[in-house]
Amino acid sequence: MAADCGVEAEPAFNEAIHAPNRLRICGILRPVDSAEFSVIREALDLSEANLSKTVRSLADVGYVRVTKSASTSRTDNRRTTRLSLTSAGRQAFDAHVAALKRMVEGALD
Amino acid sequence: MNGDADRAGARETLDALSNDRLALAERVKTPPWYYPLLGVATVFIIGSPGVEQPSRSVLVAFGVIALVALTVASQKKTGVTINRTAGPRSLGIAVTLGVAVAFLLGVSLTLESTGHEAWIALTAAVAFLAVWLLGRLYDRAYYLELRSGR
Repeated sequence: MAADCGVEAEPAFNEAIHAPNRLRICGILRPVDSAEFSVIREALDLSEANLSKTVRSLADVGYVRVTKSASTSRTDNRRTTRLSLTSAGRQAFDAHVAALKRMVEGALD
Repeated sequence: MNGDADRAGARETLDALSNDRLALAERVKTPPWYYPLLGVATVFIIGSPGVEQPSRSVLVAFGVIALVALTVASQKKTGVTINRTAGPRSLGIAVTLGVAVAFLLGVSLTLESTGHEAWIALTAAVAFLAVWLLGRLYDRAYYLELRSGR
């Protein structure tokens, strides 16, 4: 059965997040306030470079916010990167999922 | 692409999102020790009117520190920060728990002001059970609502 992954929204197909990895990043971030970069990388099984590139493209269109903070769990000086969905990102995701659902139902044929 | 191919692609995409949501729900499940410890932290606060100063302030401080530490530990374990409910059922349970804890704190303060401090231990015990049981209920509701995307 298809997922019910977004709240009710006006269906609107969005090319900016239609690519599978972009959409999955938005889908994981949708119900949370933020997630560590490593959580997303593990979920999508992507290399760090590939995920960075994909995240940058989502940040460029204003759908994902990237923040870096000091980490208490790391022994080196690298900071933890956290990702969160912006308000525009949530709206775009919900609308795109609604469009996909409508497509599955055959209403957009 | 034709309509059938579009539809199949859309279904595949929605299924992938659904699988990701399931994996996320598994990731953010709280460990078995979480709510008992949260209950203990709540007992420190609810039970604090039952003791004299400065022990009262120490108990409240321990309770608050324990609440913060548990929140940080949970975020560190899951790598995810969540400050919202996943749907109406989890929201209802969270509100009920909040109201119950506030009510029990009010009862404790009333018992202290009327000279019935001995009964505060019972109030604290009820608070512990409420946090533990409603916490488990909340987790279950949250898990199901997160999985279903509501």
